[in-house]
Amino acid sequence: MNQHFNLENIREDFPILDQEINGSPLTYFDNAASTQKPKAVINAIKNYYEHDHANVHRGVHSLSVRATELYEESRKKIAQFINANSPNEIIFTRGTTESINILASGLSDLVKQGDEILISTMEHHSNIVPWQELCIRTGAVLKIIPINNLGELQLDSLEKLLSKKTKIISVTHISNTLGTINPIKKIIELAHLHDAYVVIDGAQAIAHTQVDVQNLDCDFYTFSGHKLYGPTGIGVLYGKEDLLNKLPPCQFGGEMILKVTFESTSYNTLPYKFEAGTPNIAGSIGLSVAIDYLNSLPLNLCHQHEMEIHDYALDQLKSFSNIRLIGASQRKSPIISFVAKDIHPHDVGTILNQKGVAVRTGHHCTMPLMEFFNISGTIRASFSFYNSKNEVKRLVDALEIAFKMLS
Amino acid sequence: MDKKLNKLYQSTILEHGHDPKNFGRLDKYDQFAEGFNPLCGDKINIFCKYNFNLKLEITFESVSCVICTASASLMTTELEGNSKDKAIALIDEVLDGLHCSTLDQKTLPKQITILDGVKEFPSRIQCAALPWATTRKAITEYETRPE
Repeated sequence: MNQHFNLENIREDFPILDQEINGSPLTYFDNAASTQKPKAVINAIKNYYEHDHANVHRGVHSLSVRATELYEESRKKIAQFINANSPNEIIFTRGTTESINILASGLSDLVKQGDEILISTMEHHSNIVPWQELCIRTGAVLKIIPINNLGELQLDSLEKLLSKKTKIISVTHISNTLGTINPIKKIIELAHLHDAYVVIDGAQAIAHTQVDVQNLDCDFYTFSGHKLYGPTGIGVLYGKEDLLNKLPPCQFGGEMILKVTFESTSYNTLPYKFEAGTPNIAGSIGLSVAIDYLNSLPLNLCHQHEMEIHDYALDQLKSFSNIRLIGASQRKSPIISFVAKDIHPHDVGTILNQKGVAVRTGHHCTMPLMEFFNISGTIRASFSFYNSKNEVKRLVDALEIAFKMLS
Repeated sequence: MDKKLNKLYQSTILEHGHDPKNFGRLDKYDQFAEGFNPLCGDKINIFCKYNFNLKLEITFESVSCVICTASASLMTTELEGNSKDKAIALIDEVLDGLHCSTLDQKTLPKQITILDGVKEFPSRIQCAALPWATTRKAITEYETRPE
C-alpha cells in the first residue's frame, strides 16, 4: 500500500474537481451531502454497462452469470470493508434512508404498545420520521436522548432513559450537521444491558472512520454509497444474521421469494429476502470499486488530512467576530457548521457559490437540532481528503465578500 | 463585484431586507396564513385585515433570508390599501412572473420588478415567492385563521 499522502495525485483522480464555477475554481465543501467520484468508479460503471450487463440471478447465459458474480463480489467486498461476519449480512438498499425504513418497518413486529424507542436530538430526519411512524403504528413511545450545548450526546441521560421498556435505540454515528462523533460502542454496550436493539446511522461515519461492526457489536448499521465516493442510489443495511432472519421483509415481489402459489408464498433466504425486484447492479459495482479505491490510499493519512483541513478552517473562521460555531465537541469529524450574526445562511450560500465555493446552507434535515440551538439554519462546510488549505482560503475570502455585501 | 450578485442584492433589496416595512403582527386581523420553505427553513406569517372588504391592511413576521424579507416588505407596501380582487390579481401576476415568465416592468410597480434578479439564482426563486404565495393563501383560504 502506498503510505504517502499526495494531494495532487488524489485530486487528479476526481475529474469533477477540475472546473470553474462562475469564473472561479470550484471549491467543493459539500462532502457531507455527497462526495465526488474517482475516475475508477466512473469507469467501472461505464465498463459494466458496456461489457457485463444483464439481470442478475437465475440467468443461464454468460452475461447474467457475469453480472451476478460482480454483484455478489460487491457484497463480499462491503462485508469485508465493515468486517461483517458474512456477506449474507449485507443487504443492498437505495441508501441510508431506505435501510432505516426497512428496519423501522421490520422491527414493528417486535414492538408493542408502551414500549420505548430512543433516538437523539441530533438525528437526521431519516432517523426520526421512520421511528415516529413505527410509534404511530404500534403505540410505542419515542424518547429523545438530549445533547449539551457543545452538541454532544448526554450519556448520563441515556442511562436514565434506558429501561425494560426500551426496545430500540437508533442514533447517528456522526452528526451530519455538527460533525460530533458519538460514542456508539458505549451506547451499544448500554443498550445491550437492557436487551435493546441498536440501529446506527452511519451515513457520515462510513467515509471518515474505519467501521468494524463486529468490534462495535452493533445489531444494525446503515450507510449510503454516494457518501463513500460511490454512486447514488446504492446503500447498505448491515444486520446480524440471526436478527435479519427474524425480521419480516417489507417489500415483496421477484427475487425475494422461494416459491409462489396463489395460496401462499415462502420467502427467500438472506440477503435476498430484503431485495425485492431487480437491484441496482451497477451501483453495487460502483460502490465496490469505490472501496477498492479507498483501500488503495493510505486511509489513515487521508482521515488525518481531512482533520487538518477542518482544524485549519476552524482557526480561520474563529477570526470572524460575527461567526458563531454550532457544535464544538472534542470528538469531531471534518464538518463545520456556523451562523453569522444577523445574516441568513441562504444569502451567504448564494454569494459563496458566485465565488465557486459550494457549501450547504439550511437545516440539513435536522430541524429539531436547529430548534435546540434556536436557529433556522447553518452554513455547513464539510471536507474530504481531496480538499486543500488553499480552498479554505477561498472560503474565507468569499465569506469576507459575503459579509461585506450583506451587512 | 459580480453583476448578477449586485442585481440580486441591490440597495433596495438590502434596505427592505434589513429594515422591512410592515413587520409585526396586526393588533386585530381577520386573515392569517403561515408559509414555510422546507428547503431552507424560512418561515413567514402573514396578517391581513379588510376594512369593509375594500382596503387591505397587511403585515408580516418572518425568520427568513434577505430576499424573502425584502420581497415581503415590498409586497406589503404594494398590497396595502388594495381591494381583495386587485390584491389577488397583483399576487398572481408576480407569482407567474417569478415562476413562469418575467416580472413585467410595463404592468408591475418598478420596485417589485427588482425581484426579477432572483432569476439568475434558480434556488432562490422560492425565497422571493414565499411571501406572495402565503398572502394568497391568507386572503383566499379564510378558514386558516388561527385561534
